[in-house]
Amino acid sequence: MAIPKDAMFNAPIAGQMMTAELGARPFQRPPQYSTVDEAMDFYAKRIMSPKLRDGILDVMEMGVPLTSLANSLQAGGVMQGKHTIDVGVLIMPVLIEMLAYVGDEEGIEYDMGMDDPEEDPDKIRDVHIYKAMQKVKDKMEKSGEQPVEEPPVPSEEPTMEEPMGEKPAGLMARPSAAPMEEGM
Amino acid sequence: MNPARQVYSKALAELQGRSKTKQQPTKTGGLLQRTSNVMKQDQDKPKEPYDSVLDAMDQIRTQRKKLKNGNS
Repeated sequence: MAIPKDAMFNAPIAGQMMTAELGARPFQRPPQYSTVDEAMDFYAKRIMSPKLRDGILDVMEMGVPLTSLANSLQAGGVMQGKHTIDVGVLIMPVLIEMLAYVGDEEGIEYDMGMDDPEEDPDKIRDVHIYKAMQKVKDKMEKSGEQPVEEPPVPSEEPTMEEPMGEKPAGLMARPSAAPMEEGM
Repeated sequence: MNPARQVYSKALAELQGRSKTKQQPTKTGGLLQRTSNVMKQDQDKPKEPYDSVLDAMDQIRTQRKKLKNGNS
């Protein structure tokens, strides 16, 4: 039986199920804010809103650099179709300044992210320390152990050691070396 | 490298460079007349998007400085 020539072209392209139609995603449509000024207004309102502000402050306290935070914010805006990538890149310095302003206002010590991590490879960032501590805590909670806050302090109470002078007597007492020598 | 870091450092450099730009001369006669006209033309130009970004950045930086001076 002959297979019609068009049949092979009617099949879906490999990986088509993982894609969407053109225009189905927000970033494939015209942006909501087409100018830099509109985009800056949008972010100013958003950053100053109490809901996002608390989240931003938490992340800043964890030690996440403001440059990374601003990058994530604008990338999110692009994905939501709020603005284009080029507008996002243009407004990034303003976003960093806005975040720094919020941090200053709340008196939080933040990392601007301007120092090169390659300069000091031994320096461990606060985020990594925080993550490691969270992992340890989670593991201990799962295993049912209590997290150790402080090392145990040696107590000054007298121990229940047996006095050295008295020799143990009885059937279960450890035989001393002397009787064995005597027996041999 | 984080692109935000690059963009921010570039914007900072341009902001510092912009503050050092020439002021319009008060003298209107002689050779300075031509310079003055050129600067007037520059002022009449519509703002580029990046200029408004630098303006906004400058404003926020000023507010941050005020905030820091107020706290200290």
